[in-house]
Amino acid sequence: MRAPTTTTPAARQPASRLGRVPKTTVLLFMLPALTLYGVFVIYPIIQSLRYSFYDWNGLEPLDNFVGLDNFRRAWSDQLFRDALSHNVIILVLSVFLQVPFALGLALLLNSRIHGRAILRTLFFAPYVLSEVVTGVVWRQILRPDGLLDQGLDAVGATGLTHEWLADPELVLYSLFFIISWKYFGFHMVIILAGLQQLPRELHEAASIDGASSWQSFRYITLPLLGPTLRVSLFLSIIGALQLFDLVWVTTKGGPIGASSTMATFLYDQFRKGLFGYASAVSIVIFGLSLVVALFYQRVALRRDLEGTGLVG
Amino acid sequence: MKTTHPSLRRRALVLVAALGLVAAACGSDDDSSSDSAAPATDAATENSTAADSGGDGEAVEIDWWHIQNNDPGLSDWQAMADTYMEANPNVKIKITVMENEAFKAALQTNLQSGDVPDLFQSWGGGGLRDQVDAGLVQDITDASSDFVGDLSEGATSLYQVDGKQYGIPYNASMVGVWYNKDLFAQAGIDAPPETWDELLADVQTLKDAGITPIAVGAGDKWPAHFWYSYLMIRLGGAEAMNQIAADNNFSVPAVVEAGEKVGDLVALEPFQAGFLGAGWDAPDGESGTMASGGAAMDLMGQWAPGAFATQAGVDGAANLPFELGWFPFPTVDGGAGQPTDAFGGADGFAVGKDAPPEAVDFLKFITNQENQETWAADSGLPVNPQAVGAVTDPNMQAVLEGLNNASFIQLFLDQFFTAEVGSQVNDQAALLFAGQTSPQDAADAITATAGG
Repeated sequence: MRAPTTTTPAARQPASRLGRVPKTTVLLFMLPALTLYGVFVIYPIIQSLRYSFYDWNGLEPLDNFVGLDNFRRAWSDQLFRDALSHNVIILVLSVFLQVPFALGLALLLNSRIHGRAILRTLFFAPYVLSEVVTGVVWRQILRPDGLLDQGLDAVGATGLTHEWLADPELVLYSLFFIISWKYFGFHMVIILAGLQQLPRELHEAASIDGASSWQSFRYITLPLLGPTLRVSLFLSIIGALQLFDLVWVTTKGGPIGASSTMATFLYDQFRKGLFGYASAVSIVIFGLSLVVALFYQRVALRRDLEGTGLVG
Repeated sequence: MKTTHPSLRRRALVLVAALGLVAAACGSDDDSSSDSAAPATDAATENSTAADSGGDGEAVEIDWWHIQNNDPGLSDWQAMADTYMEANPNVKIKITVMENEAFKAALQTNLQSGDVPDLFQSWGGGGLRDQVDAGLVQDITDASSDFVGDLSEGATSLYQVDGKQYGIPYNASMVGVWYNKDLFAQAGIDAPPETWDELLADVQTLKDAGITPIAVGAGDKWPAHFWYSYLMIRLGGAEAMNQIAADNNFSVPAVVEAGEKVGDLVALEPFQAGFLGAGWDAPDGESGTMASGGAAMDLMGQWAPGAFATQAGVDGAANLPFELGWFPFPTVDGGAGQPTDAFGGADGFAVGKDAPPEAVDFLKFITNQENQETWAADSGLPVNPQAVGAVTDPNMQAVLEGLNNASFIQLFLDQFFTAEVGSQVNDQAALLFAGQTSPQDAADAITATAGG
C-alpha cells in the first residue's frame, strides 16, 4: 500500500542516481524479474489478444480467423452491456457512498473517543476475511428465511423481509452492501493513516482563530487529505471494474444475470468453451480498466505522483 | 471494493484474461514430471500390439480420470482397478479423482495441451463430438465390439459419433419427478399426476394446503431446463426433437409451446422462496428444500435421493424423515410425445487418443455383470441389463423400468448440443422461470446461438 508515502513531499526521492551504474549490470539484475514478468504477464496478454481474433472452442486448431467479429459481438451483446452497467452502478455507489462513509468513520475514530482502538479493529476485521468466507456467510444471512429475515420477523417487521439475493431487482444492491461491509474498513484505515499525518498545529491555529469544527474540516482536513482520498477512490474504482470473486461466490452473477459483472460474464464465456470470444471480452475489460486507470492517474493523481516517474 | 495494490490488481486481471493459457502451461509442467515413463509405455504398447495384444509381459500404464470423489463410488472403483491390476500384472492403472467442476476445468486444460488421459469421465453428446472433431479421442468400434452389445443400446449410442464408438457408458440417468408422499397425503392427493393438467391441479391443491408444491434450483439454471426440455419432448416427441437437432432450429411449435407451459406453471407460483437464486445441491437449494420437507415435488435425475439423504444427514434415502416416491414426467394432452419417451443420459468414459488397448479391456471389465451389480447396489443405475437384479430400492426400480421401457431417450439438452448452445438453453429456461422472456423470444434466442 503506497498511499501514505505520497502525502509528504519531504519523503520524495532525490533525482535518480542510476546513471552511475553500468547499464549491463542493471539489465543483468533485472533479468530474472523481467523473465517472470514476460512469461506470466506479457506473453499471456499477447496470447489473449491473438485468441481474440479467432472463433475457437479451445480444442480445435487455431485456424478460424474472424478478425474483429468477437469484439463486435461483445459490443452488441446485451448480456455484456448489462454486466458493464452493473460494474458502473457498483463503481458509482462505491465512490459516492462507500468512500464517504469510510471518511466519516475515520474522522470519528481519529477523535478521542472511548474504545477507539477496539472499534478500529472491529471495523477492519471484515477486510481480513477471505472473499469466499464473506460470500458464504452473507449467503446464509440473506437467504430466504435466513438470519436477517428471521430477525426482521422477530421484531415484527415482517413487511421488510425480501428475497435479498434471489430478487433480480434487489440483488445488485444486496451485493453492494456486502462489498461495502467487507471493504469500508480498508478505506477507513487508509484515511486514518492520512489523518494522522496532518500537522496538529494547523487545527490548533484554526481553533485559536475561531474556526468552527466544520470550517476546520472543510478548509484544513479535506484539502490536506486530498491525496489520500484520491488513492482510496482509485482503489475503489479499479476494484469495481474488476469485481469477481465475491460476486461469484455469493450469486454467480445471478439470478438471471442480474448481478453479473464483466469478469463473471467473461468467466461464463470460458465455461461455455468460447475461448476466442472470452479472450476478446478479457481484452475489452483490460482496455477499459487501463484507460480508466491511466486517465485517473493523469488527471486526479497528477500532483500526488509528481516525481515518482508514474506521470509523464 | 476490491482493494490491493493497483498494479497487482492489473496483473491479476491479466492473469484472469490468460486463464486458459497459464493453466495450460502449468498443466503440461505437472505432467512432464509425472509422465516421465510415458514414452516408454507408448513404445511398449505398440510392440505388444504388434506381437500379441493379449501379452502380459510389457508394462502398460492407464491414466484414468473419474469424478466419484465420495464413497461408496470412490472405494468401489479403487477396488475394481486393484482387482484388474492383480489379474493383469503388466497393467498399472493410475487414478486421478476430481470433483465434477474441478474435473471439467482440468480436463479442458489437458485437452488443450494435447495431453489426453487414457480414460476420462464423459457425458457423450455434443461435448464428445467436439473432442472427436479435435482428434483427441479414439475410435474403439472394433476394440469394443465383443462387449458393447451386452450393454443397453440407449446408453452406448450416446457414445457414438457418426456411427463410431468413442466411449463406454457405466451409469444410466433418467429424470422424473421425486415427490414427498407424506406431503401429498397431507394435501389429500392419493395418486401422482399422470397428465400436465393434473399436475397443475395438484400444484394448486398443495398450495391451498399451505405446502410449497415444487423445489427448483433455477440459480443453477440446468434444473430449470429439465422442466423446459421435458415439456418439449412431451409436446414434440422423438420426431420433433430429432428435427431440432438436425436443423439446429428451436423456433418450432414444440419449443414455443413448452415455453408457454412453463409460463402456466410459473404463473401458479409453485416454487420455494428465492428459487431464482437457489442452486441444486445446497442447504438453501433444491435438494436442501426437499430434504427438509420444504417442498412436495422435485424434477431431477436418479441421483436426487442420495443428495436428499446427504442434505438431511441420514444414511440413505430410505432413512429420510418422509416417504419418497417417484413418477414419470406427466404427459401433455395433444402432445406428439409418448409417455415412455425419456429424458436422461448416461455417464461414461471416453478413450483418449493415445490410450493402450488395455484401456478398452478395462472398460469391458468395469461394465461386466459383477462390477455393474456393485455399481447398481452402491451408486447408480447399471447400463448392463444383466445387473438390474442388484437394484433393490423400489423408486430406483421404477426409474430403471422407465429407462428400460423407453421408446426414445433424449439426452440432456445441455450435453446433447455444444456447450454454448446448451448454456443458452439453460439461460433461456431460467429467464422463462423468472418471467423475463416470452416463449417465442426464448426459442428464437436458442436458434440464434445454434445457428439454425
